[in-house]
Amino acid sequence: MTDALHILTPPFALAIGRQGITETVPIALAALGEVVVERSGVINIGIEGMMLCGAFAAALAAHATGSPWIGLSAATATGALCAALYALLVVRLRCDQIVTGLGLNLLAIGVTGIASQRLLANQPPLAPAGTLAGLDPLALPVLLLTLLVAWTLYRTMWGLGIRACGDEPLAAASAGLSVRGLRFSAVLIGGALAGLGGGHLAIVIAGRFQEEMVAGRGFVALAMVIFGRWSPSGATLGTLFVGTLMATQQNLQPLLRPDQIHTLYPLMLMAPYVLTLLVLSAGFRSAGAPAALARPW
Amino acid sequence: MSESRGDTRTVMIDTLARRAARDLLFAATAVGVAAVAMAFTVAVLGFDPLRLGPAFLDGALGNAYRLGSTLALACPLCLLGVACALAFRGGVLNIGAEGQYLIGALTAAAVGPRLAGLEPWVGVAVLLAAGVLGGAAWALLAALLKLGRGVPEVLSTILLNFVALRLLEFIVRGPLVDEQSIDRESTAAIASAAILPQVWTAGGLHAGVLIALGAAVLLQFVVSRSTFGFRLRALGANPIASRYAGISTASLTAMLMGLSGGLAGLAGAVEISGTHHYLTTSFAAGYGYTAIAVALLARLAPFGVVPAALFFAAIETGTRGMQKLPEQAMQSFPTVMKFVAQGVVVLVIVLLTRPRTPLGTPDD
Repeated sequence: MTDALHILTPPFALAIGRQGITETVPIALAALGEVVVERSGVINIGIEGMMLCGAFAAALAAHATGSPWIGLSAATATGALCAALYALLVVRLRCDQIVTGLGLNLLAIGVTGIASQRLLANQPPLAPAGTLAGLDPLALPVLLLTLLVAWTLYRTMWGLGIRACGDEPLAAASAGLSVRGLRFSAVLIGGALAGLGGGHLAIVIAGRFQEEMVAGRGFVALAMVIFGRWSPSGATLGTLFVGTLMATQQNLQPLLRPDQIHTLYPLMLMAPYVLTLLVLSAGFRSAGAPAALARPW
Repeated sequence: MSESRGDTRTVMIDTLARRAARDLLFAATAVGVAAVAMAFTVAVLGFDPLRLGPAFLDGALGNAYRLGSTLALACPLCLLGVACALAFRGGVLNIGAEGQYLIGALTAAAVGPRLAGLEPWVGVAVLLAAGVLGGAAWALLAALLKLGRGVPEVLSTILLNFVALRLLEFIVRGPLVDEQSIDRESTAAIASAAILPQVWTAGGLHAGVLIALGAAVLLQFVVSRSTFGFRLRALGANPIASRYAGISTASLTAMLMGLSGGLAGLAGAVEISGTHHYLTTSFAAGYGYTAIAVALLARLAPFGVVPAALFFAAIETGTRGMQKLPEQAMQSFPTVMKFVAQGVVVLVIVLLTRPRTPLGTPDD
């Protein structure tokens, strides 16, 4: 019991807070990208796979060059590349968005799995990316990005066009906008951010690539877009809940006896998904969804 | 078609035949592209695809035992594929077959050890019923979230898959753990009365194959010939029009979700009763995700699921055949190779069935 009280001490809470931010970063990046994508009227279930590809590319590039920053850049580029394929299928060729996303996720698991067994077997841990102002290196950038995405969506012509494509593509097209072009650009940005999130997962959180390491974070990000009612700040805030819970759960583990961990560990791993479902069912009213979401043009 | 003024029956049969031919062509294309993609992957990795081809076929169909394994693996894939096809046909995006399958296996494994002393067919029936109920209840959670709170089922079912996986681990290690087991990662064996009988001893094939086949035939009939099937197809084609036609879309959605989850749960119970006889924490193999590819390859026709399930089962057992080749790198190959095939099949089907440009939108 005295052990359990130790969780209330300031250093412990600070550790959870710091780690919570680190756990939040990849999900927040994916969610911010998805806000842009969904505001343009496209739903990208494939962000899970794009994160996975980003994680793989980051590990590969960081290993080859020794630089975590080149790794993160490679992750961003790879995410955008996957998104280009996705956009070709759903924006240009008007394929079903959900099914295409699921197909890409399966393909991503297969391709990264085979490639990592071939190229990344028995590699030493990756060089850490260090910290920025005592926090996760991407913590501050994510905060700035949240503001940037909000400003872009609500205060620029491009953002207005994106929102028009998501709510009433016919009106956008009548006004002379290229619905497909705008949606294509939104999907590329979403993929790049998801890829960066995956890269962060590999370089900052895990220090290496593992098969299926994204473990549903992409889907959690999708849920948090809904929870945040398609607003950038709402999405970032939602992911902060899940990230903090993940950090708490990891910090609670040392308090348990080994035999307890064996049975209780699965319950701890389950917690973020349960929280996501609870948050989704408590906060969700379909109001706020882009009217033309998932409708091809 | 419009110039044909013959009786409507001929026209209908003609369109049906044409649609069947098109579905077959699509499926063949998807299988062909997937085969090329697999051969390409293998070649990129520095192996000779022509040498691996025979090993693949040998692993899937080489002798009675391997053929039996392929057929046994096709059982859960078939039931799960029918579960997905049914839901997708009604426009209900149940991506949660994986979770419902795991919960079905869990309830079956929980009930199984308590069935000692029952008549064999009673024991099997109770075990399978437990699986159906478990899977259906898990699916109804998503239906409840959708109808009560407006949570899209695509997301809730995916998230529930992750919850189900961890719940299974917790229950197998905790409440249901077999105290005699050394690693504490498995439940006690089910009673012999709850074990499905063998139908082909040489191939080690259990009677689940008849259940899977029966379910596919029955649901094909339900979807294409019954009022319920008509309603579900209407719901899938146009939910708004269905509501105006007097179909209660909410209760139909819930019913479809429950039915789909029940079938997935049945698949889990069949695996426990026919193959594993007890549940371990390493039970999950992603069959619920494979089932999505199965259903799409079958073009959402329950009976078409049978050959589609056999195809993906053969990929799984065939890649196990590759594992036995001398090359070192092949030993960890199979588990991920199948995902390439599944992804390619899904993408090819989605590409072939993309909607034509509707009226009022600019043409390509």
